[in-house]
Amino acid sequence: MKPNLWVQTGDSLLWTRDLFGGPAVLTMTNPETMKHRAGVVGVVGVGAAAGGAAALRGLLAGLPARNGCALVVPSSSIDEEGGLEGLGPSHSVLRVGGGVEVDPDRVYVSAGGLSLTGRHLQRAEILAGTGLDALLRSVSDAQGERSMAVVLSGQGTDGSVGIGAIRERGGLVLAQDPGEAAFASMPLSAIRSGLVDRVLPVARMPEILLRFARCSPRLPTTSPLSDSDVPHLERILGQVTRWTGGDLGRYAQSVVLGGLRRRMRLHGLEELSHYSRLVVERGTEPSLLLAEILFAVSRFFREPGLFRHLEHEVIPRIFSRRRPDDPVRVWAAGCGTGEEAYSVAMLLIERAASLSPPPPVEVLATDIHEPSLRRAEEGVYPEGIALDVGRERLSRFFIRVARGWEVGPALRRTVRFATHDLLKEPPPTRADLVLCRNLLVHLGPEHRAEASRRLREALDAGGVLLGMSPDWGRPVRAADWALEDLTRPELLQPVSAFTSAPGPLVSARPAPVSSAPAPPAPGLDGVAVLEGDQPPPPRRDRRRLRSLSGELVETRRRVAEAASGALATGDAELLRAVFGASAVQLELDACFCHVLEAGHLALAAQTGLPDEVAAALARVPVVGSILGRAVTLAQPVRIDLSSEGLSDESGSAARALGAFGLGAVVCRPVAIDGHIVATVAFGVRDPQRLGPRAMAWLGTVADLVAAGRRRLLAETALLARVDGERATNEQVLQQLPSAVLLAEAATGEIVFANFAADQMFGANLPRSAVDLSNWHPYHTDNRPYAPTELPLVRALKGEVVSGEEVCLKHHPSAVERGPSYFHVNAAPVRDASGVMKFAIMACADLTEQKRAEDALRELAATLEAKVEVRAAQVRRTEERFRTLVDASAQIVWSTDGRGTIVEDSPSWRGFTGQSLEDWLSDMWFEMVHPYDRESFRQQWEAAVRTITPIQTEIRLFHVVSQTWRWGHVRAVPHRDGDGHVQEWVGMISDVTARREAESDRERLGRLLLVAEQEERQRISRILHDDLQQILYGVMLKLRIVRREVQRQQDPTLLAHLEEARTWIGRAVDTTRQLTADLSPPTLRERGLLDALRWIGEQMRALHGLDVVLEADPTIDVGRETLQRLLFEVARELLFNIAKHAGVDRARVKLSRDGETVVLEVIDSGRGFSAERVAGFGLTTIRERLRLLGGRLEITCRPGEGTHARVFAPLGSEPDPSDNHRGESR
Amino acid sequence: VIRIHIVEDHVVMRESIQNILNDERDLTVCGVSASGEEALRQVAETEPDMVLIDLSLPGIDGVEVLTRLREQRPGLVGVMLTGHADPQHVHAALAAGARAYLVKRDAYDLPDLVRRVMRGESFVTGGADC
Repeated sequence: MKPNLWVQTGDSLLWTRDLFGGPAVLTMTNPETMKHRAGVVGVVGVGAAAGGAAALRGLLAGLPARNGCALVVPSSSIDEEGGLEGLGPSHSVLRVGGGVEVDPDRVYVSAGGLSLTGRHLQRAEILAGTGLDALLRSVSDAQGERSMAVVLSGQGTDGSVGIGAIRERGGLVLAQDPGEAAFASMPLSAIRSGLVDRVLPVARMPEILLRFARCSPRLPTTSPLSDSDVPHLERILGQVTRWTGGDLGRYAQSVVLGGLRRRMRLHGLEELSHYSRLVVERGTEPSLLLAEILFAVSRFFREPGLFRHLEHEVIPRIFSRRRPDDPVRVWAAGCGTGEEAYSVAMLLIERAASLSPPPPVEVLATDIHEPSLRRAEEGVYPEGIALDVGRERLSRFFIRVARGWEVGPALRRTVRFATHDLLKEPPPTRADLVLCRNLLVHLGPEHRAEASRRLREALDAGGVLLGMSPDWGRPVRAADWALEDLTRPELLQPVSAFTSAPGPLVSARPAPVSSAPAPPAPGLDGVAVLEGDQPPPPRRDRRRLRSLSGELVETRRRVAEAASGALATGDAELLRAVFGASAVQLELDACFCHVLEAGHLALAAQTGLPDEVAAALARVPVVGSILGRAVTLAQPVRIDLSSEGLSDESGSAARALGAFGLGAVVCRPVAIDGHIVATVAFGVRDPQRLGPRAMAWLGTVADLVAAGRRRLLAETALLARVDGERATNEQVLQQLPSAVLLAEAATGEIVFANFAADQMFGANLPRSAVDLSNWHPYHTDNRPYAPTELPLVRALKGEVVSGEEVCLKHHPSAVERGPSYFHVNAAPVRDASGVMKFAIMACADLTEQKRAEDALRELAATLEAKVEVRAAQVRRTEERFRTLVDASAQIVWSTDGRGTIVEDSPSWRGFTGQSLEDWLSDMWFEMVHPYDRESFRQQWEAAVRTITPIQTEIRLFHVVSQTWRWGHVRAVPHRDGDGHVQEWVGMISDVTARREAESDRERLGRLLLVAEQEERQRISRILHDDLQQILYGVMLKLRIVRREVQRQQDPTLLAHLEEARTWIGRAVDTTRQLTADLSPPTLRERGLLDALRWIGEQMRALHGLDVVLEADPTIDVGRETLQRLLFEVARELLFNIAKHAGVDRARVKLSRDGETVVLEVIDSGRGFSAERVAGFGLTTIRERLRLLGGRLEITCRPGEGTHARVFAPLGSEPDPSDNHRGESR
Repeated sequence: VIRIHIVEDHVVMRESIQNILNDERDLTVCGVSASGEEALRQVAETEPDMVLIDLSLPGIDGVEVLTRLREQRPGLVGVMLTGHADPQHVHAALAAGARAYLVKRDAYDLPDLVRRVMRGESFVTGGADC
């Protein structure tokens, strides 16, 4: 480690050159000089309320006359409890009303409020119940690390806030043992705040007080950290990591060394080498040092300037940039015991209330330190917070309770607390304001960048990050940092948002269970206990990998049980064995024994009695506190329950224990390698029995417990290592973008699913490997998977499935529609001995990719086809070529996800001549032909709404040719990774040439139809008017010949003649039929109605089908081609009926519907199925009808007859060129 | 001798009918016309007892020709000769005063049919053809 220049500035703050960059030109003050100037080595603020006089007497009795300290006692109780009498010599114990300079070896007592500035003590106005708080604040400001506080007997909570200021400046805080205090609530409140260094009987206080006051460790003075000290520091840090698993490397050196300095003073050590020896020798010290470094004091509205700025500048800005319906989100990172989070919440609530309607406000407060968080959640603060909160806000936001003030419902609703390790877990997102008051200052330089990045990631676009930066060069007093910060614009600058997907403010992910690599064995106890302490999140629990070894699971269960306060199985057995021996029972008369985990208590010792102890207290009230003390003192503790002077709380618990017949409680810490891991406690009936032999027994039991614990620890270490690896693997799996499922080999049950799988399947997560068949998977060749073919099922049989493509007809997530595709790998998972334990399957979703590919392929195919058609056309004529070149320019355009045009399309503007303004203001539809405009707009809006690609043809105005041209429009949505439509991309190609070709074809078709009919008619006419007449003529001539033959009496000739006559008759019949088929003369000569009548008669005559004609005689179908076609349809349909329907009746109706003529042919026969319809010669009729603008509809249901309808427009033939002749502009 | 005037547009048919009727001693074709207009001009000169008219004629159709001829000569016997027996046509022809409606397919027996008409019979041939 590189030596740093350590300096002391002002009163107490420490700086290093490397930390703050620029030259540290500072007023270097030698503490010795200061001592002379002040004349004191320390100023002690003493809280002595009810019952405090006796305690104060006890304290002063133990203090030597020349101690170098000045004691200030603001107390109205002293006078009531005997005054200054007996406190000490009158020259040293003074009653004051303010206006004095404090001197060493003096005691200043005042019934009113006091405040200290430098050495000047003056009267101060105070709020009720905060006199000690106010004094301690001023003392800490005036004296820095030489300030001290002693909280003696009293009622209420006074002092609990002020001691925070003392601690923060590196001072010492002592509290009277509540068991000794006449009134315990004041010291208990101080202890509960976690700010007390030592809980002591008054008799032991002078020793500790003076040791601390007189000690000035060589470490943080003006001299640089010597090269010889560096190895000691490294040794200390190594020990901390080894014992606690805590990594001090992440904290700033100034913070680390500040913590060291205070710990050294508490032990009275001035040399780092001595302290390092202590850290190695004493098992509790590493965790105490870690706690010291983690220590942070929170205060409401700390740094009033910062909060003024928040209130008047930052918060109004946040509210004004808030999106409607979006809550204002604030993240207080490193919230400690919650004061800062609640403070900002108050400002937010006040601001919100001034708006109508009040927008929702959320504050997420996170910290890595669980006990602090629990206190924050509890939300009960001492009276002294009135100094910071102010009466008005106190009454608005807090509720008065016995222990001070409790946060009210408004604050509880607004602030949520969560455990969060900034460096290990992803930050929340979309915060409008991130507060990280001193988080960065606490971190070492190498972690600051990462922490800072993560803090910024949490910000929403335009959000504000506010906190102390360790990076400015000018050293200022800690209290001013935030203010300084505000004068530096860069921290108030809106920080550009991290482009993370919008998500809830708090990530839904449960805090990962400690995933740190396993620390060395003895420190593990704490890790295991912490893990067991957390209520298992049920969803996650289900998916956790099962432990490979049942043995380890069992060990783990036992550890968890031990952590929850119950006896570890081993301990219980052990103790039963010991106490089962009657000798012991006789000796000790023990009626209970308890072992308490020390993992937390070791940590608790330096912070008084934290929640863990309180929890233990709730189960075994008195024993808990005694055990806590045993740990604190690292030595056996004995309490006689019958003794007088127990505090209220201890007293009531003692009475309860007394009801069990207990006379005394004794406990002894259990240490392994100097580290306290548990405490053994005995309760005995007769205090007299606790002689040397009993204490020896106690030692034996403790040793036995320690032995048991060692075994347990060894197992736990193994477990933790396995768990650590497992957790790492699990995290890797969790983060995989592919959906991962893990099935247990024995049962096929799904025991793990990662986040991706969770998202994919949602609530429908399969329970077993076979369940996957519920999703109807298909092979790529469209063959369904048999249950035995499922990749995971195969993997469970030992097969390795690699890169199989699976299609699901329906995506498991209900949001998606249509088939989806997955790339699936599956494999068995075997343990070291080769036995298959699990099978794992990973599926990557290829659906989006597939869809994109399909869309592209389709687009490419369309384009290719068009290019081909065009190329063919181009070859045809030079003229066409030119037209096409003019027209072939593709129009490419895009819109945003909602179909709004946001981007220029030069090709569109080039084609239509539209201005950029018109295009961008969504006036594109003006360029669409009026006939197509509305329908296309609706189509487009529907496409955008339903996210369906659109493909259609519209007419667009072509500015160069001043004509309407046909455009083939195709637009596809483009989705982002989350499936949201980001934009629509469209393409329009000019297909006028194709449309023209099509209409040409139609025109030709119509011409062909007419020509065909004309030809039929011509042939029919020739047959009828000529050929038939000739045949008749021949027939008549034959008659003349016959007469002559008869005269000649030649029978052979006559027979020939008769035969010829018959043949001629047949020829006549054939030509007549042909004539009728080709073009019935009736139709030609007399019109459609007569023709229909005629065909009816023909049907009756030829097929026995009775045809009833219902016709509107006024109908004039007009067009000859249409008449003929209608006639042919009727004849064809009637013929079908005669042939297939099996009926002897049919109806033909001719009617008119507006400009449409309707011909109906109806029967009540068998009906003919749709397949047969196609075969009945109707296909060509349909096509011919289409050419004339008509259509044929046939409804036929087997058994219900057939109803055929022909619709055709009356009037003139449509002009085939209509299509591209638009209105002129 | 029964005098017959033939109105028939097709020359082969016209001549054949003329031949077959002239072949009979008691029948004589006194005139032939290729159209209705022609017939209206000629019939006054040919003074027929009977007019044999093809139903479908160019220009004025057979029924119309018969109507007009019978206006000129109220005693004139009209026989309609046609290629197809359509009830509507039959009704129209009979209404115009035709005594018989003959389909050409039966023209082989034309001399007999003519005689029967002249004896006062009124009939329609064609049967199943209708």
